[in-house]
Order: sequence, then structure tokens, then C-alpha cells
Amino acid sequence: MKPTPTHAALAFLVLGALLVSSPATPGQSCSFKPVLQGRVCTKPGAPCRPPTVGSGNVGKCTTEGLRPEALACECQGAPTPSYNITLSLLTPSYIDTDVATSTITVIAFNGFTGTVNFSCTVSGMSHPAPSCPNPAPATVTDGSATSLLKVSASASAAEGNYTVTINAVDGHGRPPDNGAQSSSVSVSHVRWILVGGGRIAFLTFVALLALWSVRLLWHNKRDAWR
Amino acid sequence: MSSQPLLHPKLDPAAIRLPWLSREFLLRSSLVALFVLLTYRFPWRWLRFVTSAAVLRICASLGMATARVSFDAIRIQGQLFRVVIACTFVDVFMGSIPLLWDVRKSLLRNALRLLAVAVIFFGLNLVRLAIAQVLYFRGVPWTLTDEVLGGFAYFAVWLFVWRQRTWRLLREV
Repeated sequence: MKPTPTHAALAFLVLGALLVSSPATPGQSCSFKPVLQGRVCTKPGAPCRPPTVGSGNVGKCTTEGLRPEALACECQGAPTPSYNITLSLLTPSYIDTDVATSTITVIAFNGFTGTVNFSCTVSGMSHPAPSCPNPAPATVTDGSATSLLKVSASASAAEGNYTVTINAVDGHGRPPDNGAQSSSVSVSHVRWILVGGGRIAFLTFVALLALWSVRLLWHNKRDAWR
Repeated sequence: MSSQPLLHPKLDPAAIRLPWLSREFLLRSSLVALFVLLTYRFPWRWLRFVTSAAVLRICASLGMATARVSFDAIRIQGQLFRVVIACTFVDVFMGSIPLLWDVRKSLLRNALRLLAVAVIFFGLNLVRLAIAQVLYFRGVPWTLTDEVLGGFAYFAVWLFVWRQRTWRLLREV
């Protein structure tokens, strides 16, 4: 059968439809599905605005997608500065009428700088719980900053286990990427015995050392006389 | 009354040098202080746990009622004990490194020697802790059992270091 112009047009239409339906056709790296609150990128790497992810006013067209058939063009801005907080273990883990301390470390990402404010809450089954004043704000200038967390118990604090939670917000009200952090402390009014040499152990050692030195000197002198 | 000079007229008192601590010993002593200070910069949680576990086992084998309260806290015969860094002897071990280091030996040989010393110190520490517990529960005050015994243990370590030393205490006159 000789192909007629109608057949050629039909073949062209089918080919065109195939090209359009395939997201990975040559010269077209983005699908036609626009991403929310943004524009469809036409060329990867081309400048675009406003960014749909990241920060800044101008972004860069980037092809994103987990599956080849679900490619989407994204206007990617500069990485958003963010931070994490970490909390060291409260030391000592048991308190009577004293203070347990922990170090809060702010770890900056993507050039984050600024002040991070903290708030502290103590939760537990018993009441009254130990107190926890809000730690001093930490100012991040070169990648990290620290602040000291103090949890103090008075004689009236109820015995039990408590969870101390630290919430943080930066100057823009943004929380840390890893959320609030917690540590635990226990209140016990039972008398504790600390195992380990203290001042008396040291004094005993110094006394023994002095006696030993005198004996050594005396022996040396006696040998010299002989 | 004639005044007799105490020293020979030709003897210059400024030239007499009294024996004094050697430079090497002073350097090693400074390193001891530095090493001990550095030791207390770390929590040594694992060692406190291991030490408390060992004390717990020894006391249990001696027929005492024992229970673990937290990683560094144990209950023996109803009394709570908290194992702090000084209790692990790690400060003593770290402090003795500069005094035991032999500059004429290789790094590996020194490391092996220190490993052996660490085992010895750990054993010595457990013995003194076990004695302290036994004496305490026989009515001896804790200050005597733990602290005074601790002082004797430190002195035992000093005698060990003294016998193993490769340095001179006094400067040669």
C-alpha cells in the first residue's frame, strides 16, 4: 500500500504524542508538571525565580526525581542555613540538693550564624520537680556554639526520674533541624557515698611520700659516710 | 677572740651547687599534671561502668546484697555508691605515663608496657575497692577504708613507678 498524506500526518501525530508523553525525551529534561509555588524549569542550570526549595531570590533549575518517569523541574535556591542542637548527658545523673549540668552544643549548617535561644522544661511523674532555668542564648559565629544547662534540686524536690527537654529557636523563630533534645536526671535524697580517693587520700599519699623521701635521704647519707 | 672563716678562703660559696631536681624529672612531672588534667576532661563512662560492675561482682561473690542503680551507681547492702573518675584509677594510670615512658624504647614497646601497667593498676584498684567495701561493712568509717587506703594505693603506684623509672631524680652536681 502506498502511503498517503493522511497516513504520514497520522504517523507524525503518533510520534509527537509519544515524544510529549515521555518525560525523558531529548532536549527536555523536565516534566510538564509544575512544582508547587514555583515555575517549571525549561533548562537545567538556567536561573529561575523564586526558588521553590532553599533560600535566596534566584535559584537554579534542577531536575529532581526518584523515578525517570517522574522527573520534575525544581527551582533550587541556596541551601537554607540551619542548625542542630546536641545535649550532653546531665552530670551527675543523680542529684540530691545539688546541680546537674550539661552542655548544649549548636552545630551550624549551610553557613548558619546568629543567636539561638533555649527554653528548658522538666517533666516527670513526681512533684515538685527540680528546677531548670532557661540556658543562656548561644551565638553562632564560626560553625558552633555552646551553652550550659543547669538542673537544680532542692530538699523539697520529689524523688524520681525526670526528663529535661531543651527547645531552641533562632532569631527567625526557626527550630533546630533535629528538634527538641532531652536528657534525664534523677533526684534521690538517699545519702550517697562517692567511691574514689579525695583530699584525705591525697594527704595520705603526700605523708607517705615524705616519709619515704626522708628514709631515702637518710640511706643516701649513711652510704656517703661509709 | 679570733674569727675563723667557716669555709676555706679559696672556696667560693657561689660555686657550690646543691643537688636539685633534674630537668628531665621536672619536665616529666609537668607532663604528669597535664595528663591528669586532661584525664578529667573526659567522662570515662565505660570505665566507671566496668569498675562498678567489677566491684558489684566481687561484693556479690563475698555474699553481699548488690544491685545496679545506674551506669556509675551501685547499691551494696542497701547503701548507694557512686563510682567517680578517681575511683577508676585512670587518673593514676594517665599520670604515670610520663614517668614510665622510656625514651630509648620504641613506641610499640612503650605501648605494650603501658598496656600491662594498665592491667596491673586496674587489678590493684579492684583489690583496694574490695577491701574498702569489706572493711566498711565491718564498721570501719568510709574515710578510712576508701580514702586512707586510696592514699596507700597511690603510694604503692609511686613505688612501682620508682622501680621502673628510666630517669634521674636529681641533677648531677
